[in-house]
Amino acid sequence: MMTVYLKGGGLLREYLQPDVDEYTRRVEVAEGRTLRQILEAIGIRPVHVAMAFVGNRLVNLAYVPSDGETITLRPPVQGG
Amino acid sequence: MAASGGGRRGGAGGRGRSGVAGEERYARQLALPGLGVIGQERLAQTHVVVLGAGGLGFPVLTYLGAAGVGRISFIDADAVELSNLNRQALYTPAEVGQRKVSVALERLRNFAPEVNWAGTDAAITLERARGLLANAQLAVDCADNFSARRILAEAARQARVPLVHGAVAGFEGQVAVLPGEGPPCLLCLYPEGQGSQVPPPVLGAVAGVVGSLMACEAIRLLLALGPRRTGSVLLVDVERGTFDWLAIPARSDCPWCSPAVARPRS
Repeated sequence: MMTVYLKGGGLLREYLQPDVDEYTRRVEVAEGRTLRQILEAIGIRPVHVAMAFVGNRLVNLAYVPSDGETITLRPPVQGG
Repeated sequence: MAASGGGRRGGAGGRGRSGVAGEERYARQLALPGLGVIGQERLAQTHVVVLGAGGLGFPVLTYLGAAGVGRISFIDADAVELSNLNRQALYTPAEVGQRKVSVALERLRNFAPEVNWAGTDAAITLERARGLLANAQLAVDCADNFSARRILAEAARQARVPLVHGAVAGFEGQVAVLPGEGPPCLLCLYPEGQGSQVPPPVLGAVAGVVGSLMACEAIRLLLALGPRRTGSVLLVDVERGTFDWLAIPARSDCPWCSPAVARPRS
């Protein structure tokens, strides 16, 4: 098992249910899981995540996180 | 459906010692490094197309007009609603029910009469977008739904016109600068697509911040100011106070811009 931190604010917090701080959720997952599988495992539908990034790098839902990594999630943002 | 307005270049201050039309009006920006007389004249010779005259369109139209962009065409199919007014300061409660394009045209012409303003009161289609983008140097996406954004982005790529894309929801927003040809494109930024959604809640000031940043990126792009950000997206979270510029990875399977994907000639 390994630990991944998912971070998100605003409209995503309702689904993310942060537990580390106001914006961050700690998740224990099996190694090799994709971001999509991790989200589904904690009850977040992929449709609620429009973008994700690690550091200054955008990643897609096929991304496989490393132990201890923080992934910032963005909800769909399409208003004008 | 379409309305246009001939600009009166030089109407606010005339030609001064610099030879720039409206010198007094633009006095506070003429001294900016990288702008100056040459940059001001370049803006005056530029045609920008803006999709949407709402929460993002308000600051984009206002600041591009204020900067002295010579010709600005915009398209919107909506009427003013009372719920628009937390973020759309082009309109007043007395104008609820009126067509946005009609109200915005009058207000923008009064604000910046030097600009050649043109408004189209209609939903965007690929054909309309192609027509608007003929002889344009830049497209700016201030739409409120992904299908309209996709139409503008597709037409911009066909016309090889760069695109400044922006969107807001809640306390968050994003600004992307996309090239007219080559990767990445709008479909690289949203590989999963973006389904339709009910109008999201949004703080008016967030639309103001994101729209103002879009106007800044548009002007930077037109004048080639500062570091190149084409192919990048700025993710804004006003609640957390974060601003992150990220490179947009090009999709190897992108139907629009990947060289590996065969496309029919349009």
